[in-house]
Amino acid sequence: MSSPLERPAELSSPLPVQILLAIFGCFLVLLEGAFAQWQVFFASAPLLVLAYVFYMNLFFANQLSILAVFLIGLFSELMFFDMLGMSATALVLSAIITRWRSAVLIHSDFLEIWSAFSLIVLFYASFKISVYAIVYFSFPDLSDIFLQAGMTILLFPVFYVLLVSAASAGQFMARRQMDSKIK
Amino acid sequence: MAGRTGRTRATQPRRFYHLLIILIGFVLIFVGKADMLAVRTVQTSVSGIFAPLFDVVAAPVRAIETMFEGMRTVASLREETVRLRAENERLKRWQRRSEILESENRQLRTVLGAVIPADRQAVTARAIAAPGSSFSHTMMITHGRDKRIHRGDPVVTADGLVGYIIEVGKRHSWVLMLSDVNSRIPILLSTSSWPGLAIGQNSDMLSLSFLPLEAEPKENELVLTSGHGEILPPGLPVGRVARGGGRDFYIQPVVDLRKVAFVSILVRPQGDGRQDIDGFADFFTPLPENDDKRLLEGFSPKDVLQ
Repeated sequence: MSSPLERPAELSSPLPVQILLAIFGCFLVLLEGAFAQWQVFFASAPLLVLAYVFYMNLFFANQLSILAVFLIGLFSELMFFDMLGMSATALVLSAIITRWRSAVLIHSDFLEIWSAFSLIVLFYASFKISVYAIVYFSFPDLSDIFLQAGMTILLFPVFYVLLVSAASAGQFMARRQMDSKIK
Repeated sequence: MAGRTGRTRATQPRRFYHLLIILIGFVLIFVGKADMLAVRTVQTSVSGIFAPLFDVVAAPVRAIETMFEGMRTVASLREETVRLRAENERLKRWQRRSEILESENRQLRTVLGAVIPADRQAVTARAIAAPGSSFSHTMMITHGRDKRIHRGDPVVTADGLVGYIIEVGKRHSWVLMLSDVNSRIPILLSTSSWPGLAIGQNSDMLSLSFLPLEAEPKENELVLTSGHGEILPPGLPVGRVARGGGRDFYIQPVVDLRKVAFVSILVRPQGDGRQDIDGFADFFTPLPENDDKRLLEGFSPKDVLQ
């Protein structure tokens, strides 16, 4: 039996891809913050990270782990000085629900995916409102939250197309690389 | 049957792992609420490290906004010219009026012997992150300890108070805006001089609370900082009174918090012995320590009991 150092490296490990996808999630957090600087999106920037987590857990659940989702949420909280743990837990719960529904949704048409995402957005907002209400004994400005949820739901098709294109491009490149290796 | 049992066995650790992460999330919520120094330090350090990246990502997004703004301006150029001419006329009238008032004010100050306290210096900074959600109204700005910024320093624009500094990093700081649910500003009504507290509600309006029962705030009355607590200087415009239902009063901030791009931080000049809010916390005692000695002026507890 050879020692671990003598064995060849595991080149097909999903870890690098998982790390890259988690970093991309963190980049989306920063982009969300940048969008918040637009007057239209003040206090109601579209939830790009939630859309990303939903998409990844629906189609590539093994590429974005729950821990990565939690860390992305935590990063968002640290960057926006948000209540610690609230967004991270909400994102993790959303990811788990998406995984649970993915077996049904993966073969559905876009309208069904869109409506499922809308429900996830509503769940995410309700969870955060509930935690906020428990912690502060008051409610935040609901109009901003509804605006944020509405914007996220409305912009989801655009984001979905971008993610599908990116995933197709990634798969195409991976296939080309594999073909060249076989040759 | 065996396959089903195997699948159940495989999902059990995963379920446990998911539950553990959710549990960590809830623990973090309570740890965050406890407002521990270690958590705040981690939060400041992480946001300080990634702040320059934030600026880089925000630059193209800002450029897109500027482009849209430009297109909108071009489209309404004619209307804008007419509006600006009218505004110019109005401003000229105001300028004349302000000159008269300024001269009157100067004369009154000479009579009263009042001195404008020169204990603050303005440091201009750029807002690099605006509130991303309705749950927290905080703003990240450039400059931190490098510009002698301390916790508690007021942050203003030409219109009035925006908030105050809550965390200071090496080159970045965090501002707690007036509208945040954690913000409490001691205020004074400019005309009737009643003191109160402006409390943020994570919405456009602030709640005007802790007013004396006989206070009758007037609609649109200017609200200024009172300077109580010695954290914020007195006389900074906060907002204008808006009447709610019954005895509920609100404050409409004078600064449009949605449009804050540049701010001034009123820092204390170098060598000022006064400390920031951390320092005040050490000296703050809600009740007198030796309450048996100073219960009432001229009385001792013994006299009261008799």
